[in-house]
Amino acid sequence: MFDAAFTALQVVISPEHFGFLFLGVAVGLFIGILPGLGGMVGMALLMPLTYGMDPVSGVAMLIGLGSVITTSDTFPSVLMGIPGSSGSQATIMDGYPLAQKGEGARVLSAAFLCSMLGGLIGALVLSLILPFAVPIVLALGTPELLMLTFLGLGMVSVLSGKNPVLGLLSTALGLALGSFGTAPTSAIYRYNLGTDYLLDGFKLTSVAIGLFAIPEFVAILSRGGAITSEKRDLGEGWMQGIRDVVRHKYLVIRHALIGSMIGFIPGLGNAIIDWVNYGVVIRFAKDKSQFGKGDIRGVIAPESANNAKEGGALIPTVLFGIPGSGSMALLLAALIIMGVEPGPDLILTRADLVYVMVWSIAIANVLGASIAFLLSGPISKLAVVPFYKIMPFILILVTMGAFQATRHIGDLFTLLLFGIVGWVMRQTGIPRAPLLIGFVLSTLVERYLWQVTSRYQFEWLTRPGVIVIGVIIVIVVGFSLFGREHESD
Amino acid sequence: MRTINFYFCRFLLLAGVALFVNITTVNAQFYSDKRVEVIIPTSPGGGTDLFARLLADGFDEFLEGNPTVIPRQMTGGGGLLAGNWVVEQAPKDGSILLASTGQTTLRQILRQRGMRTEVSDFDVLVAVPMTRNVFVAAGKGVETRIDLPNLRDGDGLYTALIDPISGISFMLQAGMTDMALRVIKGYEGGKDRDLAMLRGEIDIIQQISLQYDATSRLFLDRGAIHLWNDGLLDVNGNIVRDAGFPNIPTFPEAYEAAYGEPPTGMLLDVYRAIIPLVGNAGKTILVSSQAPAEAKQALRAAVVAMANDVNYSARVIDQNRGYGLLYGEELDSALTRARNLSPEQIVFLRSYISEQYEIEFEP
Repeated sequence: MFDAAFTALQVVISPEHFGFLFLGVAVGLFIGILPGLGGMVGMALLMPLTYGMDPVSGVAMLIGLGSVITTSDTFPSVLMGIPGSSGSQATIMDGYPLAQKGEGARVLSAAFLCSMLGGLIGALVLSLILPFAVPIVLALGTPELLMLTFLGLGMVSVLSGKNPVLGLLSTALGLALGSFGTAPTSAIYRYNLGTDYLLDGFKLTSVAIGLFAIPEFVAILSRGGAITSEKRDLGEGWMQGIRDVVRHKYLVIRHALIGSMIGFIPGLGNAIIDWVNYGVVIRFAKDKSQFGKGDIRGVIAPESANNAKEGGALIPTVLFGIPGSGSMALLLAALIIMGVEPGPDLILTRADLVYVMVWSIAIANVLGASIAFLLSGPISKLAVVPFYKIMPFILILVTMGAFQATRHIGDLFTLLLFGIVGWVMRQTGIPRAPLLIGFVLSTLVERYLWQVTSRYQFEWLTRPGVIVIGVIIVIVVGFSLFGREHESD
Repeated sequence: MRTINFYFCRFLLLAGVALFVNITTVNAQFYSDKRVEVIIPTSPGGGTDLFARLLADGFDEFLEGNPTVIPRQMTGGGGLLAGNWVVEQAPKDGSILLASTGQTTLRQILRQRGMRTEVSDFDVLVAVPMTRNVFVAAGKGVETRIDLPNLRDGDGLYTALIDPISGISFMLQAGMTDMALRVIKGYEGGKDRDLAMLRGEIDIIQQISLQYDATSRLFLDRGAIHLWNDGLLDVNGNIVRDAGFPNIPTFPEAYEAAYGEPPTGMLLDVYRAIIPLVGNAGKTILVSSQAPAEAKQALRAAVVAMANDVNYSARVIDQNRGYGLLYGEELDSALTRARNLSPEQIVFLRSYISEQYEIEFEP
């Protein structure tokens, strides 16, 4: 196995393969910076190149791309409050407030370093867990997945600030809005209001950008000035960010491990990974007072996790041929096109290729973070430019990002609608994150609940995995509520 | 007389050459510097997506005039969104192609609620066949295919359907064998169902032939039995084995081996009628029937060029488990057979589906 790993490293760093890896990284970084575009767009862009390509180069290129999107998507999240991709929603919660205080450089350096370390830990976990992954993935049945979605919803209690009732209402609204469109368990359409667009419900990209970006634009324009409200030299925070990561090194390891573990759950990882990690870091922090206002730990946790998940997400894709996300589905398609048939025996028959994947993740993360560091200087200057000057350009980017969801005019209406909803919520102090969590998990909760009750009736409640996750939910929710009351007292 | 014939022949020859030159020039001019989009109504990575991307690549390479051809995802409403958009809003100038499936055509024929397109709204340019395999898990009373009647006993078999029309052949097979199915709904795609089978959450599964891969082998490793393949309809109207699965019996063969007589009745008639639709022309590329004739001509010429190119054909055959592109007369013949559901069969199928599943049809 060590021989295979060493040989794979030699192959990946050979000029030919490294060139393709670098191409993937470059495209991935570019896609990540553009709001609303994610791994699926990047994979679709590079997939035609894989026809006739040797699997090692193709794998290196596509994995390189997928590994760094969650590195560069930090730019729009932190500097503009716009979710760069679905993996950077929670980074906004503390990253953007810190940037507004003039600490954008500190946040970016911490985020890139965490992304790199998270990605490396993810690659390590992937290489260690591969031989034992089959029984683990198969042990997680639909009942356990349902409980994990409940755990995701349970994070709402942590993210609701001092008013859990408002958080609950916000979640309920998200769950309701997420139920628009095709019912996940039958061929009927709900609340499509007579329009084709809503046959498939609102699109996450447009909803997330509308909820978080539009209200911030309005706020900055009405306040006047730049994104950062304090004039500070952006350069001074770089070392501080690195010191933050060193100080919170155990946090990085903890959340990278959580990210890897959640990442290998097909269909679930992407949806909850950010918020679960953000919720966990708040839950176990002694001083919670600065979360949501600008606490660097609120950046470190999700950024460590979302890069680590790429390693985890490869497990169901390469071992079962079962992709956990749209981008993994395209990677799977490319593997098949290149003549690589995924399966549990891949680790035995193509160990070289499996380790090419592992090394590609590791090297791409180092490369991606290094390039992002280099780009940080010029890009972060955006935060001190008067906002009215860059607003037209950013608005075009944001609109294009939202429009990428289906390229239907409905995407723009969704952006506008959720922009207004987000602005009202911001003005009235109703937390927006719970709405987004409810929206993201709505379909999953309905689907899994239906399947579990159809298949197991009530018997599923006695499964050990269900009980363990249930206990964790009770601890998280109970302690959040109890802790809050205690703090109030 | 001889002179007249000579000149007449020369005229005909010249006219033929001129026509040929004209057609190819028109073809070349028609798409010159244009942009063509292949609309993909399904999510990335699945069979239809892969097929559409392969064909988009083919049109990009072989369509005269060297237009830019790009695949574009437009998912939603089980393909309704894309179909309605192409018919109602997209330009009808030949710049929009739609990847589709036999199931979508069946939805049009059955008039599923929400679908505002008709079969006549489109011309089919090219198709590839696709069949389906059925596996039953170990421990369900079926050691070999002869034990098929045992599937009627017991508490029923859990299975997963994405929606009844996408699994229509399996629904009809279940009806003919009278197996007690307990359907779990809500699975997103074929891979989701594969995982449910591996986890032991479902007992019997229908899997498209394009997904016969590592997961299928895992089923077999765990003792599952590969019961049958849907089969394809030949020119004589017989259901024959899929060349990609020469050792697997078709459903009627498996039925006859187990029950001692071939299946009969309305369910079999409907089954025979839908197989060309969901099997022989399982995946298709469509263009609006209102597109200009020159556009259709150029697109069809590109399909012929794809089929005649050794390297491209090899890619198609490799991706489609041994099947190449279906086009020209062969395609027309398959489509004629595919669309011959009688009014009685349509009424029967609508009520058969809606009695068992929540699915709505236009009156």
